[in-house]
Amino acid sequence: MEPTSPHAMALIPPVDHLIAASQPRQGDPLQWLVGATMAGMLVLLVVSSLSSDQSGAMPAVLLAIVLGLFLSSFMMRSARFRRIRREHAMLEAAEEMIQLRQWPQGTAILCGVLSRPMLSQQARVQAMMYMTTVLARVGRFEDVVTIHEYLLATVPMTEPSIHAVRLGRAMAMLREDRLFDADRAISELRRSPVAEESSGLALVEIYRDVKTGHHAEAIAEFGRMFTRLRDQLGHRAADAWILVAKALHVSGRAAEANAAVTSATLLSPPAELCRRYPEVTDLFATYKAAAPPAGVV
Amino acid sequence: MLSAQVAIVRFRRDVLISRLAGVLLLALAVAAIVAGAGDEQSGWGRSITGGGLLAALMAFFLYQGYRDLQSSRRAADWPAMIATGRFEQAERQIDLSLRTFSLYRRVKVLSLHNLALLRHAQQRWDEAAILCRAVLDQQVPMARALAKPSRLLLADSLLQGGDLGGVYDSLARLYDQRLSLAEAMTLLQLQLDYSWRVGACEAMLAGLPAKVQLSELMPSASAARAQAFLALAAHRLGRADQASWLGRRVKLLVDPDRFAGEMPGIVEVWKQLALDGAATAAITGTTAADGGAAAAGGSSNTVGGSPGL
Repeated sequence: MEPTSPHAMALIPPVDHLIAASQPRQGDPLQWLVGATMAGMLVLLVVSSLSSDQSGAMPAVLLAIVLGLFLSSFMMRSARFRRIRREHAMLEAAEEMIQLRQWPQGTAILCGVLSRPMLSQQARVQAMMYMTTVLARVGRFEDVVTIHEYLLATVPMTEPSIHAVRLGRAMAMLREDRLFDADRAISELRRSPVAEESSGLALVEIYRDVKTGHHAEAIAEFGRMFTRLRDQLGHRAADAWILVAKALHVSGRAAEANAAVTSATLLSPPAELCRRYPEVTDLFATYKAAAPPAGVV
Repeated sequence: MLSAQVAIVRFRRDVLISRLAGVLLLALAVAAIVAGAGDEQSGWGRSITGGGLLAALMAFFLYQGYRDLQSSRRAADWPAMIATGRFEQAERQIDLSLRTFSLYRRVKVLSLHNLALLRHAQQRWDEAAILCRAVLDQQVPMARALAKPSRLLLADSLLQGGDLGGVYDSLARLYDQRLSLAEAMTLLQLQLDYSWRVGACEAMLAGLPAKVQLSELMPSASAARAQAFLALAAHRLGRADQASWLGRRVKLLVDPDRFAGEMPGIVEVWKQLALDGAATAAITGTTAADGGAAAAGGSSNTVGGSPGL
């Protein structure tokens, strides 16, 4: 398991502060400027038309103002695009850091991005989702739930995004042992149109069943959803393998539990699995993990 | 269906026209300013031409900028359309975009890149390669931004088309550039595929831990493919323990029967290393029996994303 820097945890401000500080500013000055430019052009047109009947030329001052407005709007638009591109690049960097498990660097970028008004709501949602991964990593599951509930309550999202947020919330609730709330959250997830094909939901349900001692149900769910778990989760299918290993172990099916532990640890190191699911730690006292050969990791 | 050659000819013609139009409009703007701010007694100064023309030009620029923004937004949907197999819809929209006049070249370049993406998805490797080269030839900021994805697409199209010399040339140009994580993953897959075809097994296993780590971040099918290539290389070099470990991982990531059809070589590794997967089959078999029939395949990253822990 990669060490998580204690400084990374200390760096993360309270989530309430991040939520408030990252709110995009209302009203875009650029829109006002474009509007003013348009109005100026209309005035210019009218004045020019009148000037053909009278002696006056188009007032140079008016021309300068309109030209200035036009150029300013153009420059502001370019500056805004540059800022959006920079924000996007920061989020991309944060995502990469998190995927590569470089937690302190990822945390620092996300704290920086979320500590000031963001330019778009979409990017803000993305940043907050990354932040929940970091918070879960450092064990702040209550904060994870806070962010998820805030997103669900206030930000309009597409159905797959809502599903992903609800999955994260249910998993965090399970980690916090808020089993009643988690069960309600899973019921909500079940009503989603994408529920039947969701390997994430299957994983949450397996974890719930393992935590509540419904081991037969956990094993059944794993069997029912095995193909999807394998095809959709990639190496994170190790999570499902280790949870079903726990269920098989408790059910007294030692040989199958052993094979499941082997499969899980082929895909993911034991320390990482124990960090994600503390309930499975005792399995490694009974079963042997698949150790990678020299020169591979 | 829009042919690559026709698309490129149309693209070049439109780029030329938009350049000429840009120069003409700029000249008109300067003339309008001179006229508008001119002497009150001159004919120019009294006419409506100066102010009116300038206003019309500004309105035209703003309108073009607005249309450019709209087109860029529409173009953002094309990769998703192509990825989900809505080829006809994507083709129609790209064709329309290439036909429509625009003062700015960025949307045209984006359209050409997406057409290459579409042809690649349709497995029309030659056309995809021609279109990628056309994008790479452009000297506008948008083309520079698309250079790395275009080069990766070009390398893959050439690889599928069997032009290994071209693949080497394309990949070599990417090594000295800073790639995003997603681009690095694509490059790794291309590099492994290419190296396997030219028999460079030692090179495939150089920096093995980093390659394994990168492949672990990929979706199931890509992760399996990358690690299958590594397993094949390890097997060929007689590193049985590495080949065995990687081969067993591959079996856990994909349906072995289906995967054997895509990469027949891996079956030999599984057989020779006696990786019959009996234990895995035992579990999935019994648990499937517990839960009824196993669900049919299909993958969706959004739906299937692991709930982050």
